[in-house]
Amino acid sequence: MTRLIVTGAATVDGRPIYMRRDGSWVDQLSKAAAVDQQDECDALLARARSDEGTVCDPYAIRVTVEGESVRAVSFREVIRAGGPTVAATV
Amino acid sequence: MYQYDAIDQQIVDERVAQFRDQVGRRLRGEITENEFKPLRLQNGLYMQMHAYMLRVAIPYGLLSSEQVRKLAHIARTYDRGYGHFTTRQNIQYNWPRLVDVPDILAELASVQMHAIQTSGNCVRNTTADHLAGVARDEIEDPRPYCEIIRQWSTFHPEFAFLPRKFKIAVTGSRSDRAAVRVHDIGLRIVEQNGERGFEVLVGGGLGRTPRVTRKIREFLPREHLLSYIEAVLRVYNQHGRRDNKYKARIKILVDALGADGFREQVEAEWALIKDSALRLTDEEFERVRGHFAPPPYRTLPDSDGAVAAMSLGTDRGFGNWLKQNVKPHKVPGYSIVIVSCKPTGGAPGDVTADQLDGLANLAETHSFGKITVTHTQNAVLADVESSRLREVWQRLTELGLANPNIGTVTDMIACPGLDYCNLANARSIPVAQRISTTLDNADYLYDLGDLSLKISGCINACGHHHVGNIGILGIDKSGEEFYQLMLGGSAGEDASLGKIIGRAFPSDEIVEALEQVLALYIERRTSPEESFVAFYRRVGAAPFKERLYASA
Ligand code: SF4
Repeated sequence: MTRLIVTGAATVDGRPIYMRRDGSWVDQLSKAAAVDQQDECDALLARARSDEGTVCDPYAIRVTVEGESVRAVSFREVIRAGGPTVAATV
Repeated sequence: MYQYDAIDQQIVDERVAQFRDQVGRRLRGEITENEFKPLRLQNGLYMQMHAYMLRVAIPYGLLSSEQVRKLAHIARTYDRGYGHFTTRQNIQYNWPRLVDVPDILAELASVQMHAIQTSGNCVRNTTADHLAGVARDEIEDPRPYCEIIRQWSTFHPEFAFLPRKFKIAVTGSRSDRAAVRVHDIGLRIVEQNGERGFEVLVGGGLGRTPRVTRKIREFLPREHLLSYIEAVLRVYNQHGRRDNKYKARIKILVDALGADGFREQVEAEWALIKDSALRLTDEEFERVRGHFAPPPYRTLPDSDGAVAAMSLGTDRGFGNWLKQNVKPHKVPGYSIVIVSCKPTGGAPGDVTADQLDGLANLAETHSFGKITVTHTQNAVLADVESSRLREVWQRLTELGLANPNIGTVTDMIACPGLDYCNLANARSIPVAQRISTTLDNADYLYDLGDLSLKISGCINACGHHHVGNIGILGIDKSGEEFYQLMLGGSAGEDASLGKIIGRAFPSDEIVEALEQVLALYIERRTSPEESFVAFYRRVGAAPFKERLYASA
C-alpha cells in the first residue's frame, strides 16, 4: 500500500529531510511519519509550511511501506532519499 | 588576463557583503524561501536534489593558477572535494552549505571571481573559443571582446530581468569551437576590406525548441559592438514573450518576426544609439586588449615535425596522447594541451581538488600560469613548449587527466542529470560512465574518428544533445528512465540539429543501441575519412532505423 510523507530541503544545507508526526525533521525516509489519509498529510504539510526556517518548499510524496522498509514511489524521490547513484569522484 | 580595477573589486566585495546579510536573515528566519530565492539565484545559488549548488562564473573559461588553487581550496574546505566544469565554461559545486556560501563568495572575490549572473533571466557568462589566442586559424583573439561584453552586461540595469536567460558566444576563428550558432547571440570575428568586425547571428539555442542562429548582419564594425548588441537585447526585452517561459527565449521572437523583421527592428533601435557612449573607441579597446597580450614566448624552432615524430615513438600511451590531446600552436615550438576531464568510467567534467591543484602547478611551470575551461567540460594548457610535452603528459597521467580521448566519442558532454538536478527526467552520468567503460578501446575509438556524443537528462539540453553527432536525451516514461537517440547534430560552423531516430530505449538498452549505431557507421562508411556526421548526412536516418528497430 502507498502512504504519504512530507519532505522538503533543509534550509541550512539543502539536504532532503522528512517530517515526523511531532513536526520534527529527520534525514531518513524510514523514520518519517507515513500517513494514510490526505487530511493527515495536509495537516503535516501546513505545519511544514509554517516551519520556513527549517525547510524550503515542503511537499508530499508517495511511499510504499512493507514492514520496516519504506520506499519512495517516484524514481526521483528514491534518488533523493539515497543520494547520487554515482560515487563522488573523490 | 583581465585584472579587476578598484571599481570591479568594490562591486564584487559589496555584493558579497550584501549577500552575507541576506543569508543571515534567511537563516534567522527573517525572510522566507520565496523572498530569498531570487536573491540567491542572482548569486548563482540553486537548490538541487540533495543540496544547494553554487555556479561560479569563469569569464570565457580563463583562469589563473591562483584562481584554480582557490577553486581547489573551496572544493576541499566547503564542498566534497570536487567541482564540475559546465557547458558555459563555468564550475559548479554540488554540496555547499548555505551558511558557508558568503565565505565562499568572499574567497572567490579575493581572487577576482564571483557567481553573479550565473543564474536568472540576465546575460550569462559570455563564452569563447577555448583555443582563443593560440589557434592557428584565428583571425583575432575573441577574449577582449568577451571582456568588454562582460563589463557592459554585468549589472546592466536594463537587462536584469529579461524574458529569459541570455547567452552570448564569440569566436575569432574560422572553425567554430564555441558553438556560436546555438547561442542567443553568436558573434564571429570577420574581416572586410582590411577592417575587423563581426558577423552577427541571433536566435540560436537548444532546449525545448532548438534553433540554429539566423544571420542578421554580415559585417558589424568593431566600434559598434556594444550598441548593436544593446539594440538586439532591447528589441528582445520589449517584445520577447513573458507569458510563457517555454516561448520566452529570443529564438521564438526571431521565429515570429522572421530574421528580416527582427533585423529591421534591431537596425531601427540601433540607429538611435549607435553614436552614443556605447561606441567602442580604439583607446578603450586597446586598454582591454592590453590585458590579453601574448605571454613572453621564447623564440624556438618549429616543432610540428618533432611532435609528429614523438607521436610515432614506441611509447604508445604517450603517442596516442600526442595525437589526440595535443593541438598545433600558432607560435613555433609551442603546443596546446587539452586536459581530458573524461576518465574512463568517470563523471564527465568532474575535477577533484587535488587535480585542480595539480593543474594549477602545471600551468605555472609549463603554461604561463593560465588554464582555460572548455565548453566541452575539459581544460586547456594553452602554451606548452613542445620539448616539454612528455613531462606534462607524465604529470597529467599521475593526475588522471591524460585519457587520450579528446574529440572521440568518449570525450562526451554529460549534464548532471537526475543524480543532482531538480529538473531532470533521467540520469546522465551513469549512462556516460557505462559508455566510456564499454568503448574503452583506443584502436576502436580512433577508428571511429572525430565524433561528438552529448547527453542531457531532460529537454532543457544543458548537455547540448541536439548538436551532438550523436545525442542522448533522458526522458521519463511512467516513472522509468528512457533515452532517446538523436543523430546528425553538429555544433560547429556546419551547425545542424540532430533528429530523433525512433522510439526511446530503456536504460539497460541505450548503450547497446549506441554500439549498433557506431557499428553501422564503421561497416558502411566510404572510408575512414568519411566522418560520422558526413556519413549520416549522406545516408540519412533509414539505415540506422532499420538496424535499431528491425527486430522489434
Ligand atoms: S539538461 Fe536537464 S537534467 Fe541536465 S542539467 Fe540541464 S536541466 Fe538538469
